[in-house]
Amino acid sequence: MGDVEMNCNEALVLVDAVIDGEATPEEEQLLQFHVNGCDSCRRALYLNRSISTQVKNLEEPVPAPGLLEAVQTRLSSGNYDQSPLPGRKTARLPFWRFAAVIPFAAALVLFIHGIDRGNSTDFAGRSIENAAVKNTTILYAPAPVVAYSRPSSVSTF
Amino acid sequence: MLRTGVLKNGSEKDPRSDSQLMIDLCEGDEDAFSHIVKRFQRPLYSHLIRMLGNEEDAEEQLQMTFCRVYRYRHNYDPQRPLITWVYTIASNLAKKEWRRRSRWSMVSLEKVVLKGPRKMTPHYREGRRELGSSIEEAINDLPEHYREPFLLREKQGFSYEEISEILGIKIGTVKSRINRARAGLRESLEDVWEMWK
Repeated sequence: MGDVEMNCNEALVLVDAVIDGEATPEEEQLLQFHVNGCDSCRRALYLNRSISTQVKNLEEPVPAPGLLEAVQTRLSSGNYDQSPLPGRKTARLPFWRFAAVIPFAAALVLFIHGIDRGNSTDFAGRSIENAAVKNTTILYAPAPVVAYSRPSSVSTF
Repeated sequence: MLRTGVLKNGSEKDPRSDSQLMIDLCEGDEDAFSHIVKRFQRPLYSHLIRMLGNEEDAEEQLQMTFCRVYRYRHNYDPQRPLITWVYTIASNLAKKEWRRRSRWSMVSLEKVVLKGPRKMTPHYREGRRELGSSIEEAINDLPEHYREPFLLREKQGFSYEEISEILGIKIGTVKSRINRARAGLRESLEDVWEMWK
């Protein structure tokens, strides 16, 4: 076997290879040499082998009868991804998830637009131009329109 | 471990190979589909029930797997083993179910997040805890991405290359995850093993 030494990390990799039948005869000898002097890896090899044997012998559950008929029923009905189980969602997101967002998004756009256009109410509660900002809080009251009245000065130049 | 397309219990009487069944199905032989279902239902169900943790979900995903085998039958490449193609479909459906469960776990704090549900299936629900049920629970406690390659290797007998193809991951990743799964099982079962040795 020579003077080849192996650490435990390398040995554990070989343990898997040996159990899975992937190790060469030389690798198996190398592992055997290591586990002869390493209790931890020897135990790991023993446990892995035992677990592997037990897992292979685990009971094979049998599906309920009528599987083929159930599959054929699904295929003929066209409900490939629909689940009859309660509380299960379909494979694709339903349209209503997106549709529910649309009114909210529209209201948000109108709200932002209304703020951008400025105030549309005054302290006297006169009618407003933009119904979407009806309840917008006004921080100041605009001056009456008559205060801005003045002769047109476009032609003075 | 040599894999064959015919169940070892001899329940299958159709002598056609897996690929031939699919070819015949694509040519309109609906009876071929029934043989495909009968041939693969037990190993697939066995795999799905341990991946998903309960019979209800396993049966649901089993039906959806065969629906997809039928719907996408013309996408099957006869050069590729049918069994790996079918298991790829089942694995992808199981992953979808896992993602659905993880979404619900963000809404409900009672939901288990990524590991399988604690509900035990009847076939190992017994009065006295036995080694088999301990192993089943330990497997169920493994993270899904470790559990699946481990089961494909130990229970279904796939090679590393086949597992790599089914899961769409590198062979090195397959080996690493199986190694991690075994380490996790050793840790979980060491005490139980002493009791049953």
